[in-house]
Amino acid sequence: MKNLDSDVMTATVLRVLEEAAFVFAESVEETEAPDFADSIVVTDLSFAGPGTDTARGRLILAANTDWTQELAANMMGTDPDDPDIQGKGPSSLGELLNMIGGVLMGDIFGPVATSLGIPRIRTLDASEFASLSREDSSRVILATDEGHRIELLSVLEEGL
Amino acid sequence: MGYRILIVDDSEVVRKVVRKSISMSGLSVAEIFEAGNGREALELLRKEWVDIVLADLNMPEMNGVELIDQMSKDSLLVSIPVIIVSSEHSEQRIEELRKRGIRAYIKKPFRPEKFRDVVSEVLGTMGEEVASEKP
Repeated sequence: MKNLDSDVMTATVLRVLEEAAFVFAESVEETEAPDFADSIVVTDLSFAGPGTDTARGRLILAANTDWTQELAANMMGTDPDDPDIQGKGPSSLGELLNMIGGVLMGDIFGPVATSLGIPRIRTLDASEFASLSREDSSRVILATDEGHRIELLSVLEEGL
Repeated sequence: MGYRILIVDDSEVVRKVVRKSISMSGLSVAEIFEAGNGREALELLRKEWVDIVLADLNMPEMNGVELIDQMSKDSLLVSIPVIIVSSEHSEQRIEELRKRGIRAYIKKPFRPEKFRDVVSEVLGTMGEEVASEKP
């Protein structure tokens, strides 16, 4: 079993962003990272490892609300102005986290069955997100090639 | 005449991604239906005949495993092939699902060409061996 550390999280989120949404990004330090916009979509997903006495916690993914509309367009292979995808940005971020969670569980726990919840989605402002992110156990900050900030946090309740 | 396909996923985004992948696959499609969970899928399957079901696992109200179990108890639905399209990557879970009768498993995220290959294989070999996702 691997640890849920920032290296594993970074590799996974970069891979899923590229495969699911053709978004290219890189890991950056806090001092080099672009700021979040005023409105941020935050999605979180509970996870548990195999068995009853196991590691459990939450993954949290955050991105600018405006950027999630581009994410939705990329995932669905259409234009951000497509009327069919208006308002789908937040749920696209939730689905992206679902995919990240699935890949991470496989990387960490191997072939055994694990458990993932259903993504919860909220819109927060930057200060609300800053207070939420103080809980994190590991944190990854990414900048997309177009300069948008994305954060992936893990909050461990037991193990790992 | 084209295939009639049911997509079952609680995420509208994923339903659109799967719909887009089907349209890019070159498959001959007559109609695509959508359901947001297993319960909605069963209601639709009792009204409409479909050739294949593409279902997520983790859904509210009725999940993918419960949907498969319900279909397997229904003499009209038991023969419809089910492909699971899920974020869950556990080989143990995939093996359990194969024993429950699924025809193939597609891991999210998937590339359109992988999706096309697996769906084409299942549709092209109905009644034959269980399709495998290629590495």
